[in-house]
Amino acid sequence: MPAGHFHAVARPGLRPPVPRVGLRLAGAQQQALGVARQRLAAGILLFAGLVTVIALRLVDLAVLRPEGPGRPPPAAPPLPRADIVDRHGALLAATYHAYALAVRPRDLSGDRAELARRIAAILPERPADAIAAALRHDGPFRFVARRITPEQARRLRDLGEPGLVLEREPDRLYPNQRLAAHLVGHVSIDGAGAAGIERAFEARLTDPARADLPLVLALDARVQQALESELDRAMARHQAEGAAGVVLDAETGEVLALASLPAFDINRPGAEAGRPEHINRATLGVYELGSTLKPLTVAMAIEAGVIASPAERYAVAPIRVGRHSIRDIHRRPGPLSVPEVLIHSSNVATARMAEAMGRATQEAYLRRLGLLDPAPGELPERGRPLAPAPEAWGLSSVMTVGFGHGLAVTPLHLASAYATLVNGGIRRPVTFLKVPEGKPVPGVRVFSAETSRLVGAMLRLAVTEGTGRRADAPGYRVGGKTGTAEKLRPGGGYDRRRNIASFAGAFPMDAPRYVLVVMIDDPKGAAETGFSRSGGAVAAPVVHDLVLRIAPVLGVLPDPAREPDLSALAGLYTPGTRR
Amino acid sequence: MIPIPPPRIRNTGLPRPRAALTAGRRRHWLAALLMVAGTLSAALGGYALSHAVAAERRAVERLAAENRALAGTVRALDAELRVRMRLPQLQRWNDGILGLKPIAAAQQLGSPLLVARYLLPETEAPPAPVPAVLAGPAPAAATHPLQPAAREGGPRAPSSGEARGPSDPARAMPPAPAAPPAAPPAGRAGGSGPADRGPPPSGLLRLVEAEAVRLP
Repeated sequence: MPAGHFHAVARPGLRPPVPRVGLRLAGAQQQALGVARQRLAAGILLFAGLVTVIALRLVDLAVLRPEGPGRPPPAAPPLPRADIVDRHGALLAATYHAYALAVRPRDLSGDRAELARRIAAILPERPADAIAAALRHDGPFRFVARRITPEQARRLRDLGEPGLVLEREPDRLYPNQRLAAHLVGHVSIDGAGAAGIERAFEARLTDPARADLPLVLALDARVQQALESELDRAMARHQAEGAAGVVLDAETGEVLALASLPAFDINRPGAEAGRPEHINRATLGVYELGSTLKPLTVAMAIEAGVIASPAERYAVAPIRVGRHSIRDIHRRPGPLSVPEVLIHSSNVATARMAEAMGRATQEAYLRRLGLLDPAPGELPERGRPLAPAPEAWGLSSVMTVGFGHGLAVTPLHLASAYATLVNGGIRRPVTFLKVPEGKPVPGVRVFSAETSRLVGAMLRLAVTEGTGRRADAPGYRVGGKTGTAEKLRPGGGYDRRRNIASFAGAFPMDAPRYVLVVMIDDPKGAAETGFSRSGGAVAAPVVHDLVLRIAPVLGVLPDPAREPDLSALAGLYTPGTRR
Repeated sequence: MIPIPPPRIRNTGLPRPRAALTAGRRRHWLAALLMVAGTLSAALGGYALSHAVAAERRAVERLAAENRALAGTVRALDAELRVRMRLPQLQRWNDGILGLKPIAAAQQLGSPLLVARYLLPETEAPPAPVPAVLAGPAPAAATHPLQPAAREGGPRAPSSGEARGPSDPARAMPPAPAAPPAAPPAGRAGGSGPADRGPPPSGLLRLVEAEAVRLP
């Protein structure tokens, strides 16, 4: 042990004297000791400085800024479902964070009956009995009400009841309520797609990587509104059971509007679940659409070589096939040329065309048109057509299918087939999603361009000269064919007192672009049309009013002086015969 | 282990000079003070810098959070607005109150240049005292506004003195070449030439008023 020099100083007092130890070394050691002391002092000062800084900071936080730096507002959790918009960006479905009121009955304090009355005063739309039952629930947790407004949530919070829980939960909002209800669909109480687009594109809508990107539909909300409005008006006018309509872009296969009436509020689908309003009549319901299939038969016959020239004439005398008799509703004397067959909607002539075609050709073309497959498009609600059974598809079926009976399809089926018929003969896939501008849509040729042009001209004549003249919106060159079919009885057979009135067509027929299908289910007729329940009296006026409304929206300019090329049909019909 | 040399025995009879001792201590204390001050400055500077950066980061985060919250609010307001202006509601207002109807084909102009037809000088299609024309039997040639004969038979430009105060009472109510009581919409829809030009808007208003008077 190194030697040192110690000296102690005794202090008076009760405590024993503490020896004051001093160390004194010689030379460099003493200097090292001094440096060590200095460093120790510096460390103490540094520590003291840090403590001072912390203390100052605490004073700053606690005294000078007692409110603190402020907490940022709570960030809302990411939305779990992407929006749905129409082709122009109009909102069709959106997700927002709604409030839900729940209760932990075991944490409730006070009078539950009084609390139930106070809650019922804040939530008048919720039955008071249901609220009281929720408060008496024998369990740890129970929802009282969902989708309550922020104002209601604030008032409920002000009740100060610790057993009440206000939760934020994502909820789906459909601003247009009933508009395109069947097309857009809805979600279940758990937020999963339950119908329509919501169900068809569940994976896309819930993809977190694309949650900020809305799903853009081909739908045009303005066209949809016009379609639903006109269908609704026709339903009221004719006291119909239901209605359906489709507006399709024949060039791209985009569904611009698809309506099924009656509709329901998709914000509250559960209250009406299982009711007829939930049936999508445009894509799920199948109907015999009557004479609207005749232009397809004519096109098939032309394409198959059965009709060599539109000047060919067909006898219209009633014919009997098995136990069925086929006759014309609008009887005209003499044989009819091909355009006259459509103008006067001859059942007999189209039956003869189908007979000449034969089953194989007819079935092949129906299949190529998609009329024997489930309804096109992405919706999960797709109806399967009702066609004759293979073993029963004999001559009688061939002939009745030829003029639109014995084959039940959805209105969307028919719209797709008419798009193929008028767009040059190319069948393009039907889609509910917007096709980018300028993007070519591949298709499969079904009819030749010449057949398409020829039948298109006949469709125009069927409107200007035939049963569809009430559909002729001036200036917009509407072409199409009416259809009237008796409804099937549930037990079999046809009900003569109940009709399906329909119209299928396109406009403008000089360059067909937009296909329309309108179907009115079981109209009772109206006084202004002599209580007629035919397609020409019920469905054609809907098309007239609809075209006047949607043509400006779709950018179709009216031109009363323009008509499709009818030169190939000149002399084959007598103008004004039905006027 | 470093050997520590034994301490030297000091000469206890000669104390060290006091001045030298004070100067040494001062140097040491000054060095220590500078070191402490430097250390404190570095620590405080680092802390201040870190604090400033943290404050900036908090401000940015707060702003981002506020933006998110505001975006949510805007979204909610947008949803409410779209609910209030939903198309079925607009349709109900139109059906119940406004009664607007889709425009007819004849009401659409194929080109914006056609609007200029309504701004032609009155010499081109002078307005006429329409009520008198509508009340009386109009000449056959004047029933259609496109007839050149009717245009020739019309009054002259209103810039002349006759236009302000005609001396001939028979000319005070001449047949109006531009008044189309027979079929004004059809005339405009069907024609596209210069003779299809209608009267100025004021004339149209008078025509409408006269039509309203004439109708039972």
